[in-house]
Amino acid sequence: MSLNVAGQEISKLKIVEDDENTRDSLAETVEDVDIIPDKVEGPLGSLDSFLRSQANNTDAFIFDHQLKQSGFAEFNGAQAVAELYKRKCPSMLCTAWTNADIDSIRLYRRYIPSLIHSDEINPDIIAKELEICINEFREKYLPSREPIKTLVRIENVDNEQRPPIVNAVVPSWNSKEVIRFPLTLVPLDIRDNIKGGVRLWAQVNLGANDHTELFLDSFEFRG
Amino acid sequence: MAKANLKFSTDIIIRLGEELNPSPDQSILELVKNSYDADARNCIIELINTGASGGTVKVCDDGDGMNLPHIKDGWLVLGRSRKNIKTRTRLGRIPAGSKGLGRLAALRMGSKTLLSTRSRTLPQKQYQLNIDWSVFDKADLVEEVDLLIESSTCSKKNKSGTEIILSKLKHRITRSDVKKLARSLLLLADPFADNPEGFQPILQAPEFVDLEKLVKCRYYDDAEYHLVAEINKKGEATAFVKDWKGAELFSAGHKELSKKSKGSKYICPSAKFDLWVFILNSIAFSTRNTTLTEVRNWLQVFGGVHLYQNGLRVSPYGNSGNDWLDMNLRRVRSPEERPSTNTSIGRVSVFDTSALLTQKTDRSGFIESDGFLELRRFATDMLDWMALRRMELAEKRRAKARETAPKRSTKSKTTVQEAIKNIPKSAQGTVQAAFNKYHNAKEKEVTNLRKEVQLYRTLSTAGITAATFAHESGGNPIKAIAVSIGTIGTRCKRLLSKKRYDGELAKPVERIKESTKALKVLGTATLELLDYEKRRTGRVEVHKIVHAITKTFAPFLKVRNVKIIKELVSGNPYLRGSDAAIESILTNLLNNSIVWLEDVPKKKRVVVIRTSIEGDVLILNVLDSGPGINDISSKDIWLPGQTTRPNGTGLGLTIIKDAVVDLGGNVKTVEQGELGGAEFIVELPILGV
Repeated sequence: MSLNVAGQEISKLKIVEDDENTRDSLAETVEDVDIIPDKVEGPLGSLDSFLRSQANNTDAFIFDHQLKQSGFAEFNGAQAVAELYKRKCPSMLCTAWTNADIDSIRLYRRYIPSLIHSDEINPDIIAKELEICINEFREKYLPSREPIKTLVRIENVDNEQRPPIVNAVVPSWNSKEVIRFPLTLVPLDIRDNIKGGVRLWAQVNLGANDHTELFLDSFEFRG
Repeated sequence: MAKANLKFSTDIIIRLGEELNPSPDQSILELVKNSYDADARNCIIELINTGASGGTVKVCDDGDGMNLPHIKDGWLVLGRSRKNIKTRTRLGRIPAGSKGLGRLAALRMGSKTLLSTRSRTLPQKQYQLNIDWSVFDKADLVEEVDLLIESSTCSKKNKSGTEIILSKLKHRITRSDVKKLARSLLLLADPFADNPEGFQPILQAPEFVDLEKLVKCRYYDDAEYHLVAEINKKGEATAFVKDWKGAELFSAGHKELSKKSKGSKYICPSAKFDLWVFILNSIAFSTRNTTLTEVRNWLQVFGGVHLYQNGLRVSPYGNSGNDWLDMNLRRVRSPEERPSTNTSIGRVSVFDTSALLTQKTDRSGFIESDGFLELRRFATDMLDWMALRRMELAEKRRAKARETAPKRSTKSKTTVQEAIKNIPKSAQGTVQAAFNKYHNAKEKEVTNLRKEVQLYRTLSTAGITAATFAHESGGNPIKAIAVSIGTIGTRCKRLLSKKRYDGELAKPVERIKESTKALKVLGTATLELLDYEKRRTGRVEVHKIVHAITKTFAPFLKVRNVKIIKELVSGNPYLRGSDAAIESILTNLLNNSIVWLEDVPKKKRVVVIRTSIEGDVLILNVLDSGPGINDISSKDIWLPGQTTRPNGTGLGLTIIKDAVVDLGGNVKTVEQGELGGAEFIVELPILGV
């Protein structure tokens, strides 16, 4: 059993999901793509130790996002997908996310090419999303994922929230929509400059269809 | 090999002089700070015919003045200051000037500058220097222009000091500039300290006299709370809050004050933060000698938290519109027990002998270095701590009121009964009957309020529990159902013929998928109502919310066969409020319609959401094809707890009414509207379309 995706053989896919029933049902969906599902059992400990022990003997991953709440892992799915992206291992985030999860996902969104709503997952989607991941590793981006350097205008910083939330506008994406992201997304050395009225350069996927797809990365402050 | 020097074009003087000149008041203030550094006690600023261009500004002080080397090697050298922050002046002041550039900005205000100065060691000898800036404008390089310093002997009675006359001003100084200058001068040397020996700059202008009177008013005794907080050399904070009598209410050490940052020390110079907080309502002022208006006017002019570095004020902190500690923002978020810049006055005094805080060259405040950010963290931590303690106090007050109110009520009732006994017998019966009637009505009102509070508590608990369950069910069981039904569909298609699947299984599989989506909506809608962002006040685009809510409800409405028709006016009407308020109105109206549509055949279930605009009012109509409003008067439907539905809370419409009123609008109903069912008409004032 294996699937050829954009010239790459995918024979084993690990499922990291804290709920046993959901884990089983995801495994069945994966089987239907002709890939061997490998259900990962918790608790998983830190992201480092998980990657050391689990990342080498598999071709792909599906993660749930909220893994910390139940004590299944010491990291969340978005973090893990982003780390695996850097290792060029195709990984999908399959979650029933709500607006409340957006901030924690946005922190890693640049490195999450595949975010699937749990009620939308099916064998075709899995095959398609794996292809999107693999193409992106080869710098072949979907129009909605291509990073383009652009100006970001900071509207204000909401320090009441933890972590503080930045409200900003990306005029070349949508000059009327204020988007929010955690201040921790901005590198430490320029974080002090972030306040209302300041403009920064950043890599943004200007083709994003809505704010949930939007990512911001590689911030630069030129004073 | 040829020798060369870097030369400066005279343009550099224009650049520095004009581009570093933020406003006339700030430029003149730079000259006044020079007087402070020269240990002057008095400094008089005169504005002569400055209402139009061509006027004159005179700044005259009784400081230590300058001798020839001071002028040549100090005053005339730009970009370097002889003032060493570590060396105190003769009077122990820490010099305020830094680069000497601020002075250039001021001197360039006029076409000519005349400096006259007599040093403290030899006051009989006066030096004069006349600078005609037009000569610089004609020359190519700065060093081509020679300046002549003339000396003369004057009477022995003369004292040391410096006089600077800026003549033929290029621009006029507006009334608002004069007001700003007067305010800046009065605040410059910490008027809070009340030190008669301190630096006293005086502006000869009527605006100054009025403000001077106002600044001397010192209404500090009328403050409800006085916060005093300090950071010591080790970076540890202490704080206490006193009441208006001076009695200590709360105090805390570093550990408690810096809880938010887990006890980390404040890495900034030693500082002291004083804040006087006023409660500006007529009850608080009813027993005082001062009036509410007096204090309010005083706070309007001088309110806010000012920042003093080594005794001198640093602009713009505490200026009107500058809320560097975000006090107003914090008050908007949690209005209870939070001061704003209009209800408080204060200062942060920094003792910065190591120059950890550096002012920007254009004098628009400090460079936002780590030191400055730490200082701000200190001040905001202190405000947070005071707010928490005051909340605690308010909660205790409320608890006590709950305990004592019934006792007070019984006591009052006895007093009235006693009073009735003392009136003529002929009137006693009527008065007693009237009192009984009043008492019964009051009791009924109290009972209703208690019921309402109990209902709100129950619903809040239900809301919190629903949110917890929504999160859990959305994340696990619903996800498992959604994924499994997908697999069942895929596998059945593979195992059976297409005909058999389509004929026998496609419908139930699709039904489960739709129902799962509808189930998920219930959870998502609950969680989204709790979104923190939605409760913030700001621009709210009503149509955006209409679309979002109808999208959220779509699967649920589909299952119930309810058709939504949106008839929205063209444009994008918006108002100031919170998303949560508009959501409350729409969600509750929609919920109300959905429930009543249960009584109507499936094919006839329709809800219309319509918007129209009349002047600056948005009219939102929500009408349905339900049975309409029956068995209850359309006046009573707004009352809490009033419902004609079994298991109904009777709160939905009360919430709608409260939310509409909060937004400055009103709401009415038509018992049987154009679709046959109830019609709700909400009118909301808008800011634009």
